[in-house]
Amino acid sequence: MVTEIKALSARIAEAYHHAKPLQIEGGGSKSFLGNPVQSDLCESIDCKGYAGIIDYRKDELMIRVKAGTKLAEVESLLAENGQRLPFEPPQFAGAATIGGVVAAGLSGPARPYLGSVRDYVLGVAFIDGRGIAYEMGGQVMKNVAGYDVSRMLVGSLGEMGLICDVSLKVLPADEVSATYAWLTSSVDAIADFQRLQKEGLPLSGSAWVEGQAFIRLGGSRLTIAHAAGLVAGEKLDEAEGVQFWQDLKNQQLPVFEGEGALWRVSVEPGSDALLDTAQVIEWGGGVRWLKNPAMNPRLASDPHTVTLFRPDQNEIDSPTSTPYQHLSGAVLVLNQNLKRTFDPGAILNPGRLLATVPEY
Amino acid sequence: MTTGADQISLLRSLTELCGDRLITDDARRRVYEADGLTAKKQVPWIVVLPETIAEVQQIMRLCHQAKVPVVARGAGTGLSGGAMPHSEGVLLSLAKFNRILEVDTDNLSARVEPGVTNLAISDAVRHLGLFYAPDPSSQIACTIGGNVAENSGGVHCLKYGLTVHNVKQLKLVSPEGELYEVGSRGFDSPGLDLLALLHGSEGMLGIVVEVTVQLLPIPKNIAVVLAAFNSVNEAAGTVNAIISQGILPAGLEMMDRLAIKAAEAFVNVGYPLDAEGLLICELDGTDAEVQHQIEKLRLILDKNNAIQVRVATDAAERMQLWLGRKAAFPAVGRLAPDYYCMDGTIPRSELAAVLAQITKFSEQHGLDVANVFHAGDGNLHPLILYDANKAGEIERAEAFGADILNLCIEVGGTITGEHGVGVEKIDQMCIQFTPEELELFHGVKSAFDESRILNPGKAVPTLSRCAEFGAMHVHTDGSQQTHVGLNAQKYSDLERF
Ligand SMILES: Cc1cc2nc3c(=O)[nH]c(=O)nc-3n(C[C@H](O)[C@H](O)[C@H](O)COP(=O)(O)OP(=O)(O)OC[C@H]3O[C@@H](n4cnc5c(N)ncnc54)[C@H](O)[C@@H]3O)c2cc1C
Repeated sequence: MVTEIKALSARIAEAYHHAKPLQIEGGGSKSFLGNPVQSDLCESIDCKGYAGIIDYRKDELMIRVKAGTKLAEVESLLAENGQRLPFEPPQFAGAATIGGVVAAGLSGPARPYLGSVRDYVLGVAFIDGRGIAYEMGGQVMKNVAGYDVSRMLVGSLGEMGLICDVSLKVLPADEVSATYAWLTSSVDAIADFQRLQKEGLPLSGSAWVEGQAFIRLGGSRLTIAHAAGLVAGEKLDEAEGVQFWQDLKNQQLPVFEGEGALWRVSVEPGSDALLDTAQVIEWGGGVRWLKNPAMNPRLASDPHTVTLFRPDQNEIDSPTSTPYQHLSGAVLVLNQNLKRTFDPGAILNPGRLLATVPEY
Repeated sequence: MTTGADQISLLRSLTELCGDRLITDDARRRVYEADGLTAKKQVPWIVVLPETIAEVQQIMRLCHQAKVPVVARGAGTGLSGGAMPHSEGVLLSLAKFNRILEVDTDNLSARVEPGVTNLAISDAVRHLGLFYAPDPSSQIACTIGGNVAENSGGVHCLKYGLTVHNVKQLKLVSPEGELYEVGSRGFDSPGLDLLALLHGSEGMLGIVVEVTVQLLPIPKNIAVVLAAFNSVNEAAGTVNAIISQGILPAGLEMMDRLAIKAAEAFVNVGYPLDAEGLLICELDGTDAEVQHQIEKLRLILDKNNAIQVRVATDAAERMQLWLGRKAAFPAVGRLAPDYYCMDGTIPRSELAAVLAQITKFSEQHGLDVANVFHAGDGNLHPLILYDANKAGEIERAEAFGADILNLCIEVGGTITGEHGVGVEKIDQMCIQFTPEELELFHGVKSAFDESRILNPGKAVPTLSRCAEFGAMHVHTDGSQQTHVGLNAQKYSDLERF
């Protein structure tokens, strides 16, 4: 076993024996995400020192990376080799690490067309809440031996284990990408996104921001040249397009700025829910962002997945609502049972994803 | 199952519930004795064919109460014994759940019952210009519920992903009879990603009673390119060359000499009989894109010494080229009384070396092997030919298979890419995983099925079974190791034979 992993295992095993909770830290770029962990009770543990590329097999479309490696480093290595992470994880304002990318499970603009973080995870090595180290999945494209624990770890916000390294499938980079924009209502924008998708256009992003629709096409020169003929709207110049999608995924557009809570509502793309209050719509209509809405979007009647993505800074000590909606019935029991299996002492990021406190 | 009285009482309740959709007679129970892995047989205690979700819930409640094992079954095409019945258990067939409930052309999704066949979904939406991408070769027969349980793949998975990448939501019945949903029709769902965890769980965690799949627009243009080579080595090398040069084919399949010969004799589609290796590559996209890719591909094929290249763009001709590949299993099946299909996945770069080693194994075990497989994904399907009626041949076939699986693990791959562990590869699980990892799997099982009534004895071996098998996995502690490894202390007292 690698020395660093041994040390991390020992740290966690000790914390387990002394029932001392641990807060897992990555680059800190997504520290606002999830339920607050009572940090005064926790010691922190990180694998920032466990960084570097373990194996990059360009021909296999596979990269295996230590969890502390900076996302930016991985992305630039891939770019140098004409490849990319198709799920385009956000970096936000910080220095995201690969471990954090997988633990948070957030994907960028291409998500509805090319898949999410978990779709590209091939394997994960991690340490559970007792200090036991595991390797799940692997480095090959297809693997159904054993339960798919590595994909389940994606988005678990550190509650199931400390992620040590990750094997990811990568794809060739697009030869070109092009961004088009036009003024329209959110309803019409979503209808356009759906129509273009059905027509088989090589979409790699779609968004509506305060009255303006944006799409991105990606692929070979020929494909894009052909597809461009089918798209209304004005082509943005290349740098401007790149900047727009960067700012969108990192939430650095002006619309995200300022005080107040930021809500993320996930719906079926064609749903008409919250269209009049959402300032930003992404993923073909499937994600709606509400900045400072007058009404708590959880009170809307349809069964959507609603996340209080960034709580209001002024109410940070008494958030008006919990970040994640309540689980219930069998799903709640399964989440709790799994937490108990992976972290029987409830010492890893306790409650960050699976808060035990009731809502309100 | 405790007493005969309990058994009688359960039988009475189930009869009340299912009426003539309960099978107890010998002849009809025997129909269910095996899945596609016919070497492993077991007649179930009884068979039930529920028609509604409420019935499934009630069956589970009753069986849970009586602690009677339940084995779910779709079409029984599985190749690892996952649907092999339990002698004291209920075989729960989902065959009556065969309706497509809803097709949503705006959101490109379809909500279907678990017993709907894979192909029926694409058939039902073709007129809308849509299709469901994962396409196992068994697609005319296998069910979507079985596909979820095995996380099945197909020739188009190289580009479009496996079942787990194409399912949005599941409805399940828990072992206690509770109905619940995982995933969502949007993109997020709260809590842990149970949807991912349930894919490939081989009927061990819950009964799938409804599936919402993602549909895709049918590509504007499709071309199939057939390329023949003088050696398996060259064909395998070409697979890597294609992918490393940025082409992402919709499918990239390979066949070796024996498979080519068998397929050609069976369906007569004009495959070159003098070739040692054959690649079938499907390209899709816009017209211009496909043309561009064909040109790029031709250059690669020339450079890699293809001895013959055929390009099919019209539908009939494409079908023709695929026909041999799609019929390859039954075609190979004609070469010998029985065949044993393996399913290891390896890094693509190891293809040539592994295929060469399989040839050596074939000589050692004195059994022929045909290779026809998903080359683009590195997913091998060696078909070992044997005759179950000849003394010792089953055992030799199994030993040959075990050698192949061990080799797959050795080169950094896995014992199963898409067919599952079932009962077939349960011993090899001891080699691929550490005792701690196996224990974690048992923990996952308990989280879903505390009383262990769902498909008991499959997919994950007990540690004592591994000790008996004598192949407890031990990570070495060498400094070169990138493996995270295990805390072997707990088992350091265990003898490793
Ligand atoms: C000729 C041939 C070619 C094949 N080609 C491929 C291929 O290309 N790719 C591939 O991946 N596979 C292939 N297979 C294997 C097989 O078809 C797949 O594994 C398929 O998904 C099994 O579906 P089924 O409905 O037959 O399931 P079954 O065999 O009935 O069951 C398989 C497993 O799923 C469980 N199960 C079934 N239904 C449910 C449910 N509703 N809820 C919970 N658990 C359930 C069972 O308990 C069992 O463990 C092939 C098989 C054959 C015979």
